[in-house]
Amino acid sequence: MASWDVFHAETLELERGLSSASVRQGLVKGSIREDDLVRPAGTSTPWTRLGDVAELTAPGAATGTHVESSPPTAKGGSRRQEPSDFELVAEEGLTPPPAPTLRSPDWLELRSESDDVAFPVLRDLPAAFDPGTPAAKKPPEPDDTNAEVLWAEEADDDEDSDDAIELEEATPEQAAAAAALAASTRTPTREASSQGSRLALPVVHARDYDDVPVVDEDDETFTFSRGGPQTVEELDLAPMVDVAFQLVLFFMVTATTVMFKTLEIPKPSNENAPASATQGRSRSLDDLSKDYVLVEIDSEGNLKIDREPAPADLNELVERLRSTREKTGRTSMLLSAEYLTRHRAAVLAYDAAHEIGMGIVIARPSSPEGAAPTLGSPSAASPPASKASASAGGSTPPL
Amino acid sequence: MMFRRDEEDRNEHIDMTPMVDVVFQLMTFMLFSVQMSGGEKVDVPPARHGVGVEENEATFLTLLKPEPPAYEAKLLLGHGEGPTATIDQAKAAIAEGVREGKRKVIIQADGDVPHGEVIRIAGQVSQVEGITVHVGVQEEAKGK
Repeated sequence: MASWDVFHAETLELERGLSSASVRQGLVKGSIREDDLVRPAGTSTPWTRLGDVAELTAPGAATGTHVESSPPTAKGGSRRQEPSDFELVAEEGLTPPPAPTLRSPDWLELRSESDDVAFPVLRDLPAAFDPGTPAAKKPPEPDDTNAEVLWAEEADDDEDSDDAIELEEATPEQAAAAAALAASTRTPTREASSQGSRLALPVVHARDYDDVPVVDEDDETFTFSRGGPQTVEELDLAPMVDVAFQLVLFFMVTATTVMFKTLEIPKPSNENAPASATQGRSRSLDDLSKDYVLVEIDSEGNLKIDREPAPADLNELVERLRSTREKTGRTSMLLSAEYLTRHRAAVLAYDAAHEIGMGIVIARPSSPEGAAPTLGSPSAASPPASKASASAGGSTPPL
Repeated sequence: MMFRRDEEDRNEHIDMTPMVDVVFQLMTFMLFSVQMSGGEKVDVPPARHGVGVEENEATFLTLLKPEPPAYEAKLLLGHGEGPTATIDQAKAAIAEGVREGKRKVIIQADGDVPHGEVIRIAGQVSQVEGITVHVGVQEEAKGK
């Protein structure tokens, strides 16, 4: 009956000489897992994943010799192309790290020392990965009982051939089992890249960097700058346009709003009117008061409307003029102010007449030398004053 | 080995938004603080119903109040700062303005100028054909 050495991948423990029934029983109980590694007891054949040995996993399988058993060989040709997850450790005598708990890849083989715990040893990638290289090495022949082919260094490596460890002679039975396992696996071995390396420890490869081209640092300046798109240094003109537009608007508004406030006054008649034109046509204030609302202002600024005193207030004056106009029907104002009356008092009377739309007639005052005041020109330029001009158009001021 | 980024990676954009905001605020301030009227240089009387006349549409004469005991006002050409002129010079300036299309004559008379002086000057300048005579006023103070 075949016996097996079982390497517990999780606990890194080795059990020797277990029978096939014990292995299967351990599988059922859970003490042995399919990811554990097995090999015929006492042989130096490569460790094989237990789950791949049909003899041990199939319930009720025949209990024939393990030589006849044929572990699955389907992985030989259709194995997935995946990068190596392990690398060799160069230092000898290093305490082996924990074995990988993951399922070991097919190209992983174990050290075949019969009397000691064997650790996984990397073999080369399959030839399918690199057909142009001599990696398509010839796998060990099934009948080759020399177990040293499973060691890290290939036999074709002349320089490293001395590193191969001579294995003890195995019994014929063990050799047969080993040959069977070797034939069943037929996995190309990976040539150790590190000379003198013996142990293969699990190392995770950064796959993205496997294909990074080697750059000579001496030939190229190394920077950490990003190679992103270059920024376009374009000046944004929108704010400048905004400012210019606002300035233009500002100057347009201020240029058109600089205005002078004015009040139009009747255009006085020609001061040098011919005597023939004015003779006999002079009219007294009493005569004109029949047609105009008489507003008199003395040199102190006191106002009289139709000979009656009135407050020198615009609103009061407006009300008095309005009421007078409504009572008498006179639509124009005759302003008779003294020569020395302040101009602002006369403007008050102008403003009041403009507010209610009355025409304006100005009596020209006499000079302060003593001439008696006479009537001013009844002519008016503003539309309301034109009415007054029409009504008093016949009168020519004797100025 | 260089540990700094390339020059083109820097964003050298100047944010002009605050500047635009400040300029806009300044303009708003000036817009409301500027004197929209003519900026009277003479203390013309206030009036409620003054009509705006643009500066380039009129010929300006200024009457400053006389120094007592004199009663004749001081006549200036222009708006408050012109040279002292005689009535003939004023008439000539008005005639020149009429040829330039300025058919309005604005007498910027101080409020204390005798009313008779204003009427006298108005009667003199009215001898120029094709003009209208205005007296300058200012905006009435608020609250009155």
